[in-house]
Amino acid sequence: MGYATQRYFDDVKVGDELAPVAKGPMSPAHIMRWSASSENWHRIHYDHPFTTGHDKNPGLLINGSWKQHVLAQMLDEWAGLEGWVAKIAFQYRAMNIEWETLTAWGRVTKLYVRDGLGIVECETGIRNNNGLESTPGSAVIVLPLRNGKAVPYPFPALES
Amino acid sequence: MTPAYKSFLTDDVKALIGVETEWSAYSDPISPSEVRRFVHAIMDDNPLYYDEAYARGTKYGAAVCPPLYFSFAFRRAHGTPDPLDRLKADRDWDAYGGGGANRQALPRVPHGFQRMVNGGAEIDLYQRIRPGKRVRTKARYHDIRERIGSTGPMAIVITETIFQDDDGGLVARARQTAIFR
Repeated sequence: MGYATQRYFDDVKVGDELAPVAKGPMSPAHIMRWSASSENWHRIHYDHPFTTGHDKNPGLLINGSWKQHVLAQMLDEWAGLEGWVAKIAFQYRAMNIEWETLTAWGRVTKLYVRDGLGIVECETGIRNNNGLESTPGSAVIVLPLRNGKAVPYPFPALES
Repeated sequence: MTPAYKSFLTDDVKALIGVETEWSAYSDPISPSEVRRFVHAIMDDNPLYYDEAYARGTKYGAAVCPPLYFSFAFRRAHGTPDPLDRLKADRDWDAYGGGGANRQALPRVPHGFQRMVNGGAEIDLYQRIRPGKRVRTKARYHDIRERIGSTGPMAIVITETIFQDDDGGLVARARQTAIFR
């Protein structure tokens, strides 16, 4: 999609929801397109008899390696061109299979200023159309202050 | 009666924590068409990934790849053995790793478990890779743990990989968790 008007740290509150990003329904063709693009030939993603029979999965698994990009897109669009997504963390807790629609979501949990830059911590996740959370995680986004300095690029490591 | 479980986490295995690879060879230069296919597959139609005129007006100065593209720059090289040949003799193989990506491998952790689950990752991002650039990696074992869960014992292996572009710029640092059981 791309970016809306730049968001400034001054305008963000704890509890704010990030604009969600939804993808789907994820057909076998969509899942296969990712496997082909990433040259991942793991059969659980496209070989239905194998994934259900041999590996006893409920269907064709939507790749975790694909799901992470939905989170990244949501975070990057919210950060805007002048912001920076400094950290993305997630756990793969549940399987998603063909024909599910997946929605990345995020919520601001903590705000502080460091070295003149706005640091936004978020909790994040990916829910399917039945409300199942499969990918709980967190993120750190750096935003400029309205009358502050630009977020440096390349971005130096955050102290932990 | 099945024999008692014997911990794999010996001193020799613990000694693998901190072991790191050399730098990998560089990937091929990232091609715009590879990025196009990737972007189609992730369905993120951001003009930053293909519209050079638009991208020139941004801090990036040129079209860049999506945020987490850097770890997908590694492809099997021409003239290398075909990993899928294994299916000729073993039709039950799941073809995991069959892409044969060109990365340096850490020594195997001798945990004895067969099934691997991708547990997730924690990724620090420093800059975007862009078409034409090459990427290389260095990996190390950040931690190796054992957990006895309700389904039995498992090995938790956390690998940290740093990604660098061919200007020497640090692109990202990723800690990936693999769970073996």
